[in-house]
Amino acid sequence: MEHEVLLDIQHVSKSFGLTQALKDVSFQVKQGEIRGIIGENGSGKSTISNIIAGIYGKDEGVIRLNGKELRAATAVEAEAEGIALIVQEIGTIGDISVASNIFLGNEKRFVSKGFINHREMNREAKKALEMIGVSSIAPEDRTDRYNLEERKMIEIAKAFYTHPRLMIVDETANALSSHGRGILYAAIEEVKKYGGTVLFITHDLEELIKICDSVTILRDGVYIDTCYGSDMRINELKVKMVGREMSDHYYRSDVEGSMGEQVVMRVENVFTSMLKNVSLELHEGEILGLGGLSDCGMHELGRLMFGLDQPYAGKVTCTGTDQGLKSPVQAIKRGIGYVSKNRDTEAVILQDSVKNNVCLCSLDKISKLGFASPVQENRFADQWIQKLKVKVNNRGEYVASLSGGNKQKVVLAKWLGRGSRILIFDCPTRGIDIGVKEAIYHLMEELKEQGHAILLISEELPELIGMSDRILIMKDGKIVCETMRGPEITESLLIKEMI
Amino acid sequence: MKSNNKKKGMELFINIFPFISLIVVFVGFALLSGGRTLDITNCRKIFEQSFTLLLVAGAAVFLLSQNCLDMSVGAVIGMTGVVAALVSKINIPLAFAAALGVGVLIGLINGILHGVLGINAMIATLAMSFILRGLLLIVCKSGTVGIAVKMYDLDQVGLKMAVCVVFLVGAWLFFQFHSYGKQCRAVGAGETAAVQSGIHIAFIKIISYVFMGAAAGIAGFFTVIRTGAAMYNTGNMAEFDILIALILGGMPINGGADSKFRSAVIGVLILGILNNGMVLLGLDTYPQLITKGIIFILVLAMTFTIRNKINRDKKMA
Repeated sequence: MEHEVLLDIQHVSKSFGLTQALKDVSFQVKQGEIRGIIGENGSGKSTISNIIAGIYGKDEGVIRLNGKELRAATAVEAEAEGIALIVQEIGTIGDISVASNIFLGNEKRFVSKGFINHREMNREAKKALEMIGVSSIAPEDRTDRYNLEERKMIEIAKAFYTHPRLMIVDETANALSSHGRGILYAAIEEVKKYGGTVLFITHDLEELIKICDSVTILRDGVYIDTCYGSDMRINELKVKMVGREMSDHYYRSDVEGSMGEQVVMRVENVFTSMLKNVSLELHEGEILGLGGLSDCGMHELGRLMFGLDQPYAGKVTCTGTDQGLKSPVQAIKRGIGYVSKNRDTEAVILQDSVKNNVCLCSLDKISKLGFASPVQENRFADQWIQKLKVKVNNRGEYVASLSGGNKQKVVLAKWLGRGSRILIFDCPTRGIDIGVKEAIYHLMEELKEQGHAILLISEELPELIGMSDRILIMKDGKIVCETMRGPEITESLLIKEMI
Repeated sequence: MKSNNKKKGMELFINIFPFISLIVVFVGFALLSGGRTLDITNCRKIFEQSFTLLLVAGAAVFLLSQNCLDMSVGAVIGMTGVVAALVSKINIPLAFAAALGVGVLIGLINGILHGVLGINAMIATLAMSFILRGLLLIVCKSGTVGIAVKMYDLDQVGLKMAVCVVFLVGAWLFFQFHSYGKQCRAVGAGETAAVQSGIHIAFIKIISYVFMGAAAGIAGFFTVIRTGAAMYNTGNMAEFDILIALILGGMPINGGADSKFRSAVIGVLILGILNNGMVLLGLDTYPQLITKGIIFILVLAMTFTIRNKINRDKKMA
């Protein structure tokens, strides 16, 4: 049994519009194998997993599960074949109970005389959650009471409970803390133990090597290679992913931090429901790192500094005025740009062209008396598309069809085009492949040199340590630690402050 | 690659469908009526009947593109019509100003209700239409409010043509090339992202409702000129005619980046020819309503399904 092929993918192709996401991809995965899938954004990892799980159709090719051709056209049909998918983004519905989410589509089991027996369902849901070792989530609660990590746990429980033959985990780990990852990895091991197969898609190569038996590399929709066991070496994998030699460290190389004299933005004794007496100063030519656990208040602080939320007490001000920040409109006028951590819903308009997205917040600059000539708009958009090397077929292409990294470049193009001097980056590299990550880091350094002020909010410590001139750590809504850039700063040092 | 071509085909189809519909109703009714619809006096009639709808549909493009509705348009036409009729006995230019002013005021209230207080646009404007219809019943106790005799002098095709062209070209320029039009579409395509791009949503919405009210005011003024009197039900159902026209003209029901101004013009033309043709063929009022309803649902169902398909395929992981 051990060595039987479970999943057999033959010559699968798929395109979205002009973008060909998969080109003649073939590979096999054995029973009881944990297979990693890696590749840059836009390499087709998520596409292949979504095709297997019945969410997308394929244009060409054959997929066999246990020798039988898989023709699942919907997620429910795929589930019946024993395939469970844990999606990249949020895969639970917020305003129904946890138990209803776990048994979504399978409520029939609990139906008697036409009614759902919720007590029975809650009991089973509790069991499902306990199977993966989660006891802090109550099955009868509304799902949106829980944060992103807990909601991921619910999805893992849901997937695991179905006892899948094939479990697909799509970049879920990126959203999880180390505790959450532990639970996920235990569930993956468990699936392997009973002879199930796991496809694990991630950007985190170090974790991947620890967890997986083998790894398949995709690049630009093409199958590159599969490595097994001790053949999985990080540097070689990176080269295969990117297709060229990567510089070992893509963070800043200078050891000492530096910043301009002038303070461009001030937060003074701010209180909100999440923040308690927070003050900070942001200098020109500085990258200020802001770290902590995901619910420590750092994301809320970012929103506050863009005028999206208002504090109960305290003030957020920019140089040259004593007036507090009241709205994003005002923030943009004062030269602030904001990259939200929820890129797809907040930072870009998916169902609109790259051109319109890039121009949107600079319309007043491009136009005369409010009227903008198409020629001028096109020139503006092209200029910033080129400067940031956004990969698009043409400027009229919708942002929805771009990969995560390219979407993020569109967001950056928008703010740099606007000429913002203060940039608030909330998790700017979340879910982005190495290539674009490197480009963003280089860009940040360049912006710092030009005197921009950058607030880097990040849940990734290496990124904070690697890029910041100064690091602030938050815990429970307070800033608990401030430290300058230096060789002595380590991850464990910062983690101690965070928890 | 095969599915690529298919999708391109679907997009092309969605884009040219309004033109096809226009040609089909135009040629279809010309043949069915033995050429009577092409008669110059009939063409003039179609224009006269469609004129006010063109104005309000042109303004409604701005609202619908940001996924907002105004269910009070018909009542505003009625209200401003009555106001124009009453004031016309004093002075005719003043009557126009009064109609316009009342329209703007109601639009402002609608805009504040939705844009500032955040009340659902459909509910707020529906409530507004009840209030206005109630007021109209009080004012029009005797049934009708007649206009001043001199006001009939304004019932000229040339004047209406001029108003129509200036209004539509102006609105088109604003919708297509002005920041305001672009921001309307951005709000419809993604409100949260629009807020974070520095768009003042409340402001955009208030402006749009005010513009809608102003257009309804002008429409009310010209409606009473044509009918000679205002009644409690003047302008009845105009909001639905707008919706039907825009959808027939190819407007996406949820607005967004695909919204085009031409939807208003093409849609109103289709609807105008359709209404006129059915009358010429001797159809009664009820079959006319039923036919319109069925066509509306069919077109909506078809465009909605195709657009969904295109958008779903555009999404890539």
